[in-house]
Amino acid sequence: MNGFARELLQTLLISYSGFIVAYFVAVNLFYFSMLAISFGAIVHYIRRHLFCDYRVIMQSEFSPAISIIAPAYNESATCIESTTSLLKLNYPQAEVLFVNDGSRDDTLAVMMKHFDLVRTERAYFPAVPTKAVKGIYVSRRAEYRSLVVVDKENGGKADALNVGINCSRYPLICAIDADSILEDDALLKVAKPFLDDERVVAVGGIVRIANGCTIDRGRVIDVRLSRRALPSFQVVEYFRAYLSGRMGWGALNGLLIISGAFGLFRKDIVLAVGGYKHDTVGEDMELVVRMHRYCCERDIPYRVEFVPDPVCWTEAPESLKVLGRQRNRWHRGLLDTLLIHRRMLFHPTYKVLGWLAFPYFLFIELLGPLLELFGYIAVITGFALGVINVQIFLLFFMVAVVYGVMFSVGAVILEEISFHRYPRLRDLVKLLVFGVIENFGYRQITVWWRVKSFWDYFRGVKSWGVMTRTGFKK
Amino acid sequence: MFFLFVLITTFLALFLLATGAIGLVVHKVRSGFMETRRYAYDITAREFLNVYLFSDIEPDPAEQPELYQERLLPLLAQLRTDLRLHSASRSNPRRRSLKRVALTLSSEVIGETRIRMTRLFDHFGFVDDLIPQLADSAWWVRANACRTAGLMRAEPALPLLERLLDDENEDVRIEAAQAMLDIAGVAGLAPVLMRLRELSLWMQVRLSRTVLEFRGDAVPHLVVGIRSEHPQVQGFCIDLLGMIGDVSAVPVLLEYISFEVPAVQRKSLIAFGRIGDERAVPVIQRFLGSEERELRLAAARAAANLASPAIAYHLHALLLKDDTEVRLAAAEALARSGETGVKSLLYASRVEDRSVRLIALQFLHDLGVVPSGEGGAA
Repeated sequence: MNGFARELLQTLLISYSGFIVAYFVAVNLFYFSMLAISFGAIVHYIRRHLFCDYRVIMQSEFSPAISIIAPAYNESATCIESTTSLLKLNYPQAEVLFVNDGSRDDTLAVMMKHFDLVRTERAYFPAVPTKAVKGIYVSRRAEYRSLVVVDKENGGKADALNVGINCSRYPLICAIDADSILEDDALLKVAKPFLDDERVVAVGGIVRIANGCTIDRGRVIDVRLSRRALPSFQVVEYFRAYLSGRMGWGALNGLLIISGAFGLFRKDIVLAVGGYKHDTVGEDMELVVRMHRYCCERDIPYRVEFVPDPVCWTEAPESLKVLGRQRNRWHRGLLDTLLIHRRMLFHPTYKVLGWLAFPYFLFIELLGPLLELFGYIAVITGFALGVINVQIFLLFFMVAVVYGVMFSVGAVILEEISFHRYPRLRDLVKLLVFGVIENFGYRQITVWWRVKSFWDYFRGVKSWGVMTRTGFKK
Repeated sequence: MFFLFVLITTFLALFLLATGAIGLVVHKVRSGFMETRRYAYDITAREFLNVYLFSDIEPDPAEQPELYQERLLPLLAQLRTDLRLHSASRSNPRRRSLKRVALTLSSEVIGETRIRMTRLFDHFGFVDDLIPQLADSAWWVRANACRTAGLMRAEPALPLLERLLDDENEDVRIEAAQAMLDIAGVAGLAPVLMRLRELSLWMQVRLSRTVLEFRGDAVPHLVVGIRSEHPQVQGFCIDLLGMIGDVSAVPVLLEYISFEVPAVQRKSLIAFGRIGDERAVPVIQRFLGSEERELRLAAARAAANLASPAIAYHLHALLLKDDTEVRLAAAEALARSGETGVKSLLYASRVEDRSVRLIALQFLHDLGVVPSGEGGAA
């Protein structure tokens, strides 16, 4: 390398270092603010929770009725257990719409046999356009009278959800993953914000990781951490994302994501925005962003809330390959949604969304991994060129790790002071340890997956990727 | 200088981190220990409380209340001795345990046991503790005090509770209203309704449970409440009158539906459907032809509950002309209207409009009637 090139590279590296330091400071200040806002929001939630007897929702005719939509594709192994658990949920008036999205296995046959289903002449009026519905079935048995099974041509998860919305009879719709487990009172808790405030249009509930927990007849009866490292890392990540992220965004009315695994929406608004979008892998986030846009553009007073208490349990990937696919899909979904709604960035119409939430998701969530990867490359190059001051590098590395750990531990503290669902001391200590060691290896792998998703996105990859699940431990 | 600053803040963060982590572990261990201790205290308190609540005592409190109260005193003294509650300090863990256990049981006891429970709260000074909390500056303390006052049936708290119906915090207002109903019973309903300015859906959910437990006794008070100047309170009263289903509410509902307020009219129609009184049939018939879509829908739904063949003609018109949701409600009403309704659905199953046909066939199918065009006789 000649002298000029070397000098240019050195200048670039030094400039990049300066930029990274500024970015790092801004990001950490932001995270710190979010942690503080989330803390306040959780304390407020817990104080309100003291006066909330959810049994009254169960017993009241004033409670809004809910249609639960469970889309399913090749779920013959789990559909009976998951549907039975949905039918047992505590809620005064709810219907369960199981949408068989053209499964290639015997999902429909298994459902028909177990629930004694019979085809009905129920009229199907597609308020949102969907693939054709082949048949609507109800049970002959009284105990399953709230179950409706819809058989349709394969069209993907978003299409199945839209069919569920078209078939639903009630004013609130709850979208869940057919392979998730809801706690018995989850619907009562997630419906509460709709009772508190008539402006609420959507509510997201916390999703927790069930790996390691003991599950009996569709219920989590013993909460504990998995013995495997990968799910435990994800537990810490979920705490950070939900308790110190979404909780804070909910308080600011800037929540852009409600997990597809568990969310409750006002049907009239969902229909007004045209239902779920078919050609995106981030249909859950895209719908919420569209609802925000719809309300902001029409000056409709609204709120999108996050409730940290209603629990939906899901199985986290236990292999790097499957986790990689999941993270790749999430990041493609984020990128797609931000591109579709790029007009919102710094646009005054969208208030907190345009000025805060959208820039955060763009510059920190979406582009953060790219900057981090460039940072690693810059460090290696810098060492090779001998332009890095080792002491300063070590100091920066230490600072980065300390702050990273601080936010993880902060999220664990939020969990422990609020819901403390992990009763064992050993699990708490493990969570703290995982909050430290995730910075050495795990974090870098997730950065790589997310960076790779840019490549896949611009190559036009739209697939979900195969999500192999090992099944819940019984 | 900059690096020194970074170093200091990092060490500060590290210190916070270590303190937080250690604090968390200590808290976990301590709370486990406290939980065990609290459990032990609660077991003891429950045991002695059962003795107090269920020991035989003469006379009947309704016949000789003063003598009855006098006879309770030795039992209360015994409870004090059993629980070693010689100190009245609020921090006494045994006293706190007694309060916790008694409050848990409080919502479940009735009759004479209820009187003993109320006396216990008074005797041990729990009601006196409560009064200053009702005026606390923190809303959650006030709300919790209201809730506790209701569970204790603390009559001395009533004037303060009434004042808290105007509190700035909604949770406080809800708990105050609920506590007033718990303490004063159905007699507290009209004052609560006339005092409230707004009712969120959550407040309606909360209060409705208690009001519906009063059943027919609540009707005169709800009729008073309907005169509130606040539309949400009016609507709430109408809803409850419908849910209670007492025909004595029909005249007042007929009066209110004549006012041109769509929200009140809609709720009145739903209430008529629930009550199922024939006097409402002409009104429902009139609203089936309303220009307001929501009123037509409410009328069709009410008609489904009334199942009167007299309005089949109007329902048939809705089935043929209206939007899907109203058509579904009209078809359901027709399906419940006997032979006239079935004839109407059979006719609709042969019309040109596909969605009308589909809806009619859906309800005919549910009734087990196969239209002649579908391979069987009607």
